[in-house]
Amino acid sequence: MHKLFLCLRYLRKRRIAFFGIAAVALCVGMLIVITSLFHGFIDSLNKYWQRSWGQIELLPQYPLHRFDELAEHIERFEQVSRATYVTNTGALLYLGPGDVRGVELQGIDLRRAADDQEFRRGLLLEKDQNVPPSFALSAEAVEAYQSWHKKKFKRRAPEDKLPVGAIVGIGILAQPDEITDQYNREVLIEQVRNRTTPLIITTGKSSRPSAERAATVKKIQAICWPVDVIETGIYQTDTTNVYLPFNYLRDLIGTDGPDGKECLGRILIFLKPNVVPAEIKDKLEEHWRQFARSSLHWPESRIENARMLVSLEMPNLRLLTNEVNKQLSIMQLIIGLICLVAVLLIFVILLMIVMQKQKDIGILRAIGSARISVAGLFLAYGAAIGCAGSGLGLLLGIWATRNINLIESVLTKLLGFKIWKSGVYLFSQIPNEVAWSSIVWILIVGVLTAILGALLPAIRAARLEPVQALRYE
Amino acid sequence: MYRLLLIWRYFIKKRVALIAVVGVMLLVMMVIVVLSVMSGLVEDARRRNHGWAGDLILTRASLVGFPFYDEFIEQLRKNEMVLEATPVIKTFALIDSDKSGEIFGVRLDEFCRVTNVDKSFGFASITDPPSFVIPAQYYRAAQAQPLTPEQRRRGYIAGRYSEGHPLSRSLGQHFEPLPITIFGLNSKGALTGSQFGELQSFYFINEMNTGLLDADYAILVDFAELQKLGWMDERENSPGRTSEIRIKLKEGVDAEQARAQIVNLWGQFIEQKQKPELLADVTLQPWQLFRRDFIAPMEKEKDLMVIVFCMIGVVAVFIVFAIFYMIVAEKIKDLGILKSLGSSGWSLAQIFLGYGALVGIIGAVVGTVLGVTIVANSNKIEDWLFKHFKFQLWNPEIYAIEKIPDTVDINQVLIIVAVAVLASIAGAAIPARRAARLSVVDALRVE
Repeated sequence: MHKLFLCLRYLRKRRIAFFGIAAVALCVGMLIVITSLFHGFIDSLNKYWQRSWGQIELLPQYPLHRFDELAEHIERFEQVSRATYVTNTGALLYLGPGDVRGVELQGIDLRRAADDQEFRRGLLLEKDQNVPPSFALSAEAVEAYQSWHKKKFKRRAPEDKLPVGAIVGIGILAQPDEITDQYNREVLIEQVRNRTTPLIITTGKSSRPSAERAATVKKIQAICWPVDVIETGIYQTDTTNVYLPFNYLRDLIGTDGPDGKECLGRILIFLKPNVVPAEIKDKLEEHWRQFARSSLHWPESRIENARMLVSLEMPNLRLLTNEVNKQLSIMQLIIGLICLVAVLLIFVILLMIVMQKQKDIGILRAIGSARISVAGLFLAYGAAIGCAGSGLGLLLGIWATRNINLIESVLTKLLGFKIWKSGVYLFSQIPNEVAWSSIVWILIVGVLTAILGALLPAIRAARLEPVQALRYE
Repeated sequence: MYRLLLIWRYFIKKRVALIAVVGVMLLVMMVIVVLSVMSGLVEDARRRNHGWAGDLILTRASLVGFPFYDEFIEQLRKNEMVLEATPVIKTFALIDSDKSGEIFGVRLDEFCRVTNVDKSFGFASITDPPSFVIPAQYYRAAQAQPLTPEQRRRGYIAGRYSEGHPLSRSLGQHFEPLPITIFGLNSKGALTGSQFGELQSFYFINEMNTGLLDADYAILVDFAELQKLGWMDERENSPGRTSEIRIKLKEGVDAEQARAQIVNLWGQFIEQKQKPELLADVTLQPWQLFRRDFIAPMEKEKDLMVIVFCMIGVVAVFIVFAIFYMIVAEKIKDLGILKSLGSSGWSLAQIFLGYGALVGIIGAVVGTVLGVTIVANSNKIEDWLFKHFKFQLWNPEIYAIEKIPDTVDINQVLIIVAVAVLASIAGAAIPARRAARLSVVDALRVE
C-alpha cells in the first residue's frame, strides 16, 4: 500500500517528473500522428483505387455494344451491390485561344456513376439539387451555343446537332490558388454558367493492323459544352478527366458491330458490405461467362481472353503501398531513436529522485522493506510516468490527427506556403483517420520506454544499504 | 582558475553527465544524417531541373507562343555573357489514337548545348552532333520500302515513361511509326489548319531518362517539324513562332546581372518591332522560378524536417537540465563552501554554464563524427542491409537517383553543432541560476 502512496506522492511533489511525462507524450503523440498519416494515405489510396477500378474490375478485352445489359446482368449476382461501366480514351481539348490540354475522356453512365456519393458531392453546380445530375444542356447553354454557331457559320445549328454535355475536372478549367491550394469555386461556377464558346475535342481511332497494312490512325472531332465541374480532391482525376455520356463516347470512338457501335470498356463491380472480393471472384467470373455465352454468343477463346481483377491486388497498387509502408518504417525508426532519448531523460530524472530520497529509502529499508519492493517502487513510478505520458500522448495524437487539416492551414498562414499540395501528395485533404489498429503497440512502447528508463535507478535504489543512507556526515 | 578545475573534475567524476553527452550525441547524429540526405535530395533535384531548363528562359504562358525568336537569338548570341540560346516549342499531343502527353520541339544540337539532356540518353547518339535525322540504313521499317527523306527527319526521343516509349528497348529493330496529333493554332490562338488537329508519324530513335517526372513523360521531336505541324511556322503575314527561348550562360557569369541585361535587351527588341501585342506577356525567368513547382515541394519537406527536429532538441535541453539540477543539489555543500570563501554567485553560475557547454561540445563533436561517418558510408550500409536482410532502403526508381546522397554540408554541420552547444547551455541555465542564488547558511546547515 505504501508503494502506491509514495508513487503518487512523488508524482505530485516532484514537478521534474512532468518533463518525463512530456517527453513520453511527445513520442507517443508523434508516433500516432505519423502512423495514422501513413495508414490514412494507404487507405485513401485503396479507396481511390476502388473508386476508379471498382472492387472487382471486369475487362472483356473485346469491343461490346450493350454495356448496360452486362452491368444489369452482373448486378443480378447476389453479392454485388452495384456495377457501372466506363470507357476511356486520351484526347486533346481546346479550351479557348491558346489554351490546349491533353485530357482523358471518360464515358460514363451518369445515373450509375452518381450512385457513388463522392462523385455526387464533387459536382459543383448540381451538388445541392435533389434531381439526379444530367448531361443535358440548359436553355441558356443552348442559346449561347447557337449564338456562337451563328457567329462562326452564319446560321443556327440544327436541333439534333447540339454539342454534347460534359462534366469537366476542376483542374482543367482553373488553377488552384498558389498559397492555399484551393479553387475559387464561385468564380468557376459563374464562368461555366456564362460560357460563350464550346470545348473542342480531338481524339483518334486506330484501325486494327492486318498482314498487309500497319495500323492507321483516324482523327475524330467532337464539340462539347461544359454542363458541370467536378472536384474529387484527387489531383490526377481533377486535372485530366472529362466525363461524357457513355453512349456518346462509344459511338464516337467505337467500331461497327452487329448491334451498332462497339467499344472497349471496363465494368466496375462494387460488392455488398463484408463480402471479400477474392472469395467470390471465381463465381462472379462464371456468372459473366454465362452472359458472354448466352447473350453475346462469344466463342470460348474470346471468353478466355477476358479478365477479372480484384483491384486491391493489382501489382501497381501493391508496389505503391509497399513503398509507403517502407517509408513509414523508416519514420518509425527515427522516432524510435527519439524514444531512446526519452529513455535517457526518464533515467536521469529517476536517478535524481533516488539520490534525493536516499534517506527515505534508508528508512524504508530499515523498517523492513525488501530490496525488491524498493526497486518495485521506482519501477512503478516509471510505469506511472509512462502511463500518464502515453495517455497524454494518446489524447494529443488523436487530437492532432483529427485536426491535421486545421493545423496545416494554420501552418500555411504562419509559414506563408502550403505544405500539403494536392499536386504533390495526390489528395487535396490530408488523411485524418486515426490508425486505431496500431495504437495498442504504440502505447506499449510508451510505457516500456518509461519502465526501461526507470530500471537502472530502481536497481541502484535497491542496492542502497540503510547504514550508508542514514549515516550523518 | 578554480572554475575550470571544477568543470573538469565534475565532468570526470560525475558519470551521470555522460548520459547528457550521449543524448546530445544521438540527436546531433540523427539531425546530421537526416538533413544530409534531405539536402542531398533537394540539391540533386535542383541540379536536374537546372540541367533540363538551362539558365534563363524566355517564355509565354499561352501555347500560341511568340514570333521573331530567331532575330532575338542572333542578338543573344552576340552578347558576351551568353553561351547558347535555342527555341523550344511546348504543346500537348495526342499520341497514337488514345493517349495524350506533352511534346517538345527542339533543335537537338543546340538544345543539348543549353541543357544536359544528352547525358540522360539511353543510347549513344547515332549522329554527331545529335539530331533527329534517321540514317538511311538505320531504320528497318516493317514495310519493305525505305523511309523517304522527309520521313527520315522525323525521329523522336521518348521520355522513359512516355506513351511513345516502345516496350522493347533494342535499337535498330522494327518499331511501328508513332502517330502524333496536335492542334494547329494561329497567332490569335484559334484553331487553324484542318481544325481537327494535325497528324504526323514519327520514328523512335532514342530514349531519355532525366529523372524529372514531367520530362520523362514527354516526347522530343525536331523543332521545325513540330512548328510546321502546329501551324506555328512562317505563313503569309504571320511570322514563325516558338513557345520558349532557353538560354545558357557562359561559365562564371553572374546570373542576376545577365538577367538584367537580357531583360533590357528584350525591352529594346520589342520597341523595334511593329507588333508589340504579339510579344506581350513574354517573361524572362531564371530556371529556379521556371521550375519552381518541381523544386519547392522538396525544399518544403526539408524545412518541415528541421522544424520536427527543433522540437526534439527541446528534449535534449530537458536532459541536460535534469542532470545539472541533480548535480547542483548534490554539490550544495561544496557550493556553500565556495561561496563562504568569497566566490560571487555569477562565478558559481559560470561553473555550471561552462559544464553545460563542455557536455554540449563533446556530445556534438562525437555526434558529428558518427553522423558524418554514417552519411559517408550510407551506400555501403544500404548494400549491407540488402545483402543480409533483403531490405532495400533505397529504391532508385522512387527517388530518381541511384545512390543515397553521401555528402555533408560543412556549414550545416557547424550550425547544428552550435545549436546543440547552445541548447546544452540553455539546459544548464536554470540549475546555474539556482547555484548562483544559493544562500550560504542554507547550504551549510547541518540538520
